[in-house]
Amino acid sequence: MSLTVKELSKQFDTIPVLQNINLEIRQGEFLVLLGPSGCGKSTLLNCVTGLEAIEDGGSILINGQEVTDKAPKDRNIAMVFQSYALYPTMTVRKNITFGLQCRKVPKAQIEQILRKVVELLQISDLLDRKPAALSGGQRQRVAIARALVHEPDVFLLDEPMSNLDAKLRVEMRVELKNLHRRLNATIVFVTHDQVEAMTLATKIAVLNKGVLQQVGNPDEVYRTPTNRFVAEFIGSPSMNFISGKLDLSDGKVFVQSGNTCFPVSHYPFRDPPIIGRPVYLGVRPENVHATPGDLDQDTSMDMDVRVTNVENLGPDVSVLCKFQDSQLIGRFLNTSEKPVYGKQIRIWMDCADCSIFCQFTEERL
Amino acid sequence: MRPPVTPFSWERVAIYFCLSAFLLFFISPLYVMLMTSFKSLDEIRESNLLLPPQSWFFGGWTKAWDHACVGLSCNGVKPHFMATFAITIPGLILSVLVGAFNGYALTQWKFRGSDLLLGGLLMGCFMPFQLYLIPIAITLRELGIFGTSFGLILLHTVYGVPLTTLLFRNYFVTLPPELMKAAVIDGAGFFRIFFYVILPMSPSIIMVAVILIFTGIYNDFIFALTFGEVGKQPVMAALNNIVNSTYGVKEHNVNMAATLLTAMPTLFIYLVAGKFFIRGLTSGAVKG
Amino acid sequence: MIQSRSHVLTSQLILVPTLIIVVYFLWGFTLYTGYLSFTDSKFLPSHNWVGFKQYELLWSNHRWKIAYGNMFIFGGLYLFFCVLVGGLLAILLDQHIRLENFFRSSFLYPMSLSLVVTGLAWQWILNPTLGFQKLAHDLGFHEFSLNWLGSSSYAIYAIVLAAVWHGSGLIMVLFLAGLRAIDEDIWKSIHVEGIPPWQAYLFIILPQLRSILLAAILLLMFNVIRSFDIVVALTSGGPGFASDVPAKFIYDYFFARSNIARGAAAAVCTVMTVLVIILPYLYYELRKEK
Repeated sequence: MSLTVKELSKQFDTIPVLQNINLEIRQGEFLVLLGPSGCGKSTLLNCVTGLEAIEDGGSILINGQEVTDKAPKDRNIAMVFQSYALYPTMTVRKNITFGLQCRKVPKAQIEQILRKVVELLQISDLLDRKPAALSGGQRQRVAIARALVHEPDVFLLDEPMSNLDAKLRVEMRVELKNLHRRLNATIVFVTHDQVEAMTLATKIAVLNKGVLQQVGNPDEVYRTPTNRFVAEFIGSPSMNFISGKLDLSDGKVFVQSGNTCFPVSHYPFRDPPIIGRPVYLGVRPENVHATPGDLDQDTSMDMDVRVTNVENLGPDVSVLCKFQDSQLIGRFLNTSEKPVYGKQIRIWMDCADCSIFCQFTEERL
Repeated sequence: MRPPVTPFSWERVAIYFCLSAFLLFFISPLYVMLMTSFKSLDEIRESNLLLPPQSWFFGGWTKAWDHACVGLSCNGVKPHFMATFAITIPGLILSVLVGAFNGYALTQWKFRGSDLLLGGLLMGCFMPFQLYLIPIAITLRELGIFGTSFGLILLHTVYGVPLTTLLFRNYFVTLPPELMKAAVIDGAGFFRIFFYVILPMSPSIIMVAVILIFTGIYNDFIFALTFGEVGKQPVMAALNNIVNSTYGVKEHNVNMAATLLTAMPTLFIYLVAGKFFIRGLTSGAVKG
Repeated sequence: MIQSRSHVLTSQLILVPTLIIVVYFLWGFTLYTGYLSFTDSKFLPSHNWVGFKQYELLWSNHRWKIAYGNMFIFGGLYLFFCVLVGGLLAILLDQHIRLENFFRSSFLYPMSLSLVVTGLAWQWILNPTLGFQKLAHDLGFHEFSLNWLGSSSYAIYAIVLAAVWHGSGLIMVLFLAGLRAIDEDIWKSIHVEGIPPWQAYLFIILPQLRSILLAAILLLMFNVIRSFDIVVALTSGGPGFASDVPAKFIYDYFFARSNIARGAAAAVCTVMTVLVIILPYLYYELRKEK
């Protein structure tokens, strides 16, 4: 049950919404389409479903079969919508089985499938209620059930968690992941929430302004973002970017920013580094430390900064500091000695897992 | 079916075909009346409904306007137009004003009995006018304004107020109450709030009320017929008299011209401000 | 809501005229007419109580029975066809039509015309010697006959035709608003699940329009009772009394026949009939919503 998107482009009037999208999803993968509002992820989903016509180029294949010109019902897919779209005047039972009835599936078979799905999603006591009498989480489960009964090749979910409150979201994430495991289903999930993407996905496809930025598993996307956009989008709080130049000294490569030199000799440059090149050095907040601890001298650097804001997050504190002309965020352990506003402190930057981006192209070097 | 939109298919052809068929049904009476009004009586006899006039004859129109006979006076529809507007405009202003104040009073200041009054208005709105005819006649006679335009103005106001009250009330309840609270804290009084806060936020509902009431009064027939002033009856009663009176030869072109003339004001308002017309009709129904 | 004594008092004062309207002009008049139906008033109101005599005489009146029956024939057909045509037009217009505004205006403009104008327009079209029948003959269909205005059995249908022409536009607008309010995602779900169009409309879309249907029917019923204008303009109740309706009967008995009490009885019967039909329906629908 694989899904392939080939060279997909889409325009609305003359505005390009999707540009040359290529994606390959294998059986059992959980792909998350991640991106900010307006990046084209919902349009991409609609093209895969068949709700949007593909006339500007590209094709969709499911299980190796070309489905680009087929109607949604002939693609053997199922979709869960942001608003769940449950039929308001029907009971839960009718909602789930109506599509099967229309396809003239025999009654006995419908009953069987229904029973299986209802048990899986634990909604057996909701069967005779109408959607208006269900909570958000219950509605979502019914919507998933309605998709499951069609036993589709691919499940598509369009921001299904947006209408749930934070606590429910966390619960539903766990349930969804369990379902994925049990069914070994092929899932395409659209969201703008990078936490959802990181926790649910086996593969993340980051999209911005209709162009695929990076496709990879969560670790790849987190540790080695291919460009500044992905680096900034993933991770909360955001990655720190220090503006500087590549420099060579004693045979070692540094990123020089003002008076500070950050050691990056260990960094796996794609091409030999060009000295003098303007770059951004990206270091995640959790790699900014309040104490040297057991940091490796060759890959870390200490500096003095002024504290401009402190946020107590419970287990950590998020500290905003002023460094040269920019701001840095660090995540320190929450101890009794918290940094104080306005005070100068010394921090240690661990560059072992850093990212370096060219200032002009914003691509990873 | 809504999404997606297929550019061409037999389904779309069928849809447009159906729509066009209905279009013919709805437009044809207007077309027919227009064509007939410009034909001479001879041509009407020989020609048929669909054909445009071979030679455009304006006699029907001039007679309808100036010297068609309504009862004993033969001055065409012109004087009746004047009379109708002399009744419609005051009735309109009064109904809308009173209705707006009522709606305001009912929503912004809750007190015991306001719901009861509302219920009473609602029920009253739906009763057929036949129930009121005799008592109205008696009341108008007692007040000495039976058969005068003043009587009609009173009637239209009285029976327009329930509708306008409901319209304004249903609209005013949707306004945020914080607005009122802010105004009161600012020290504004009852009427100041009405004129400076509420009314400026209500241009659309005012338009709706104006259009509905104008159309209602202008198109009224039963009150016009029963309580209208002789020689100055509102235009619908006059029209019916011109067309359906049985003396002499039926002059179809005059009749059609007269019908079109009387239809013009409301038709014009509809074409120009149709949006509000629709909104008025749908909001009137939503309350149910 | 902020309560302030002077404001509440002002509101009450403002509402006094309307209170008078409701109590005197609406309910007072209704009750008075009801009272008159139990008297022997003829040309002028009288106060002699005669119990149900007027009602007995009314129901043995041939003309009344025709008029009363016509109310059901006209009402039923008018309701049915307005909802059918209006609903159909709404569904058609909801299909992403080009020139939607043009079509919508064309279907709705009859509503702006008075029922007198409507009646007169259709009187002309249905005229046997000069109207549609003549057109058909001219086109070669010599056997074609459309003389409803001259036929006792068909005259009432002429009124139905004209009234449906006038009123379906409103129903269309109501249904269109309802259709437009349906969640776009529901349409998408229907499409993805592959539910055929007519089943989608029948089982999913139209059931959501129940409250609109209720509003539409109430409005239409209101028009049915008031159907005086169109009958006078189109057929004058004829031929004979074949297309008479209660509204005209009542009017004629009040003024032309100078029999106020009989007319009052007829008015009471009409209103009671409508209430008996509407109230249970209203009750049923409102309870369903709870």
